[in-house]
Amino acid sequence: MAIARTVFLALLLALGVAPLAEAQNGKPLFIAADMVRDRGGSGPACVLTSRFMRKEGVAWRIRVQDATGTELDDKSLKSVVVELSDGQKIEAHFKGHPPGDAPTDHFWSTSWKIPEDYPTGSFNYKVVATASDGTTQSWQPFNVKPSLLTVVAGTFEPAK
Amino acid sequence: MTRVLGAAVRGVLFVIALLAPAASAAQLGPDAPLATPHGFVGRMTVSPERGPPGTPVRVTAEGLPADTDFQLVWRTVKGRWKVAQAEYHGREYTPAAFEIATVRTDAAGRLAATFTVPEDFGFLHDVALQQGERLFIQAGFSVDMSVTIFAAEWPGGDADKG
Repeated sequence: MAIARTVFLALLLALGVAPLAEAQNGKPLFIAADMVRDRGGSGPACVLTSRFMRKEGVAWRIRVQDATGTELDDKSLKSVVVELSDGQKIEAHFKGHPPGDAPTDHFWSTSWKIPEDYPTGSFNYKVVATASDGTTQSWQPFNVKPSLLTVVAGTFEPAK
Repeated sequence: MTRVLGAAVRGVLFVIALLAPAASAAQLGPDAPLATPHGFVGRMTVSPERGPPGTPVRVTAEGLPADTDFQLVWRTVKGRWKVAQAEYHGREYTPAAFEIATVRTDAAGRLAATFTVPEDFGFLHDVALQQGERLFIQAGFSVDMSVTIFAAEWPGGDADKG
């Protein structure tokens, strides 16, 4: 009976303490992201939008901060990835924007060209940041249809 | 006075018009799961890609598993007033999906079907082919909003001039 009680207590400790220890080690991450038109699209680049035609480029701009508000760059984070609803993972990189000699801001960004045969409609996505200690935090846009990534009918043909 | 009444009637009609899509959503089929894709399979088109409620739409798809049944699903939202203890807390819209039909691919993995656009909220809706929780492929259809006014039933009109 005493053995059973000891085993039961050990099980309780194993189940309860491990997640607690994990939570204490993980540092909270805070993500802010938006979606803009990439260069070479149907309108000016870096303009907020959620509606794209096939063959247009979608760009995501992402900030990740710690609990003190400090921005986390590629030296502080292991990765920042945009995950599309179909399972595609698009890795973001930390750099200055606009690109060139005189960036006015630095943040994580990535882009994705919508394939010519991609389905139309609305698609959810999420941004996942992974800290150097393995802690992950995800962010999703408002679950309101017009805010989601929307592929509208038509194919963008760039000017030649 | 007549002007105030005219405005009030217009307001009531406007609210009824806003509520109408939610009330008539019952004409859709049974609830379906909000399926998610694990990579899209095949290609699907709807024709036309936009139109008002009542528009007949032809769905075609190819590149799907052969001789297989799918749910053809209309995705929308369920709207409701958030009212608690006589206090109004705004509106709430929850994503929802309704079965339009069950369809079956042929031996070459193709299918064709038609459906009628239901009375529903305006703008983009996803038409999806799915099996249970798995979404295979989808296409967007944009519902054009329309308003019909019957002059014989309109109590405003000249009253506004009085």
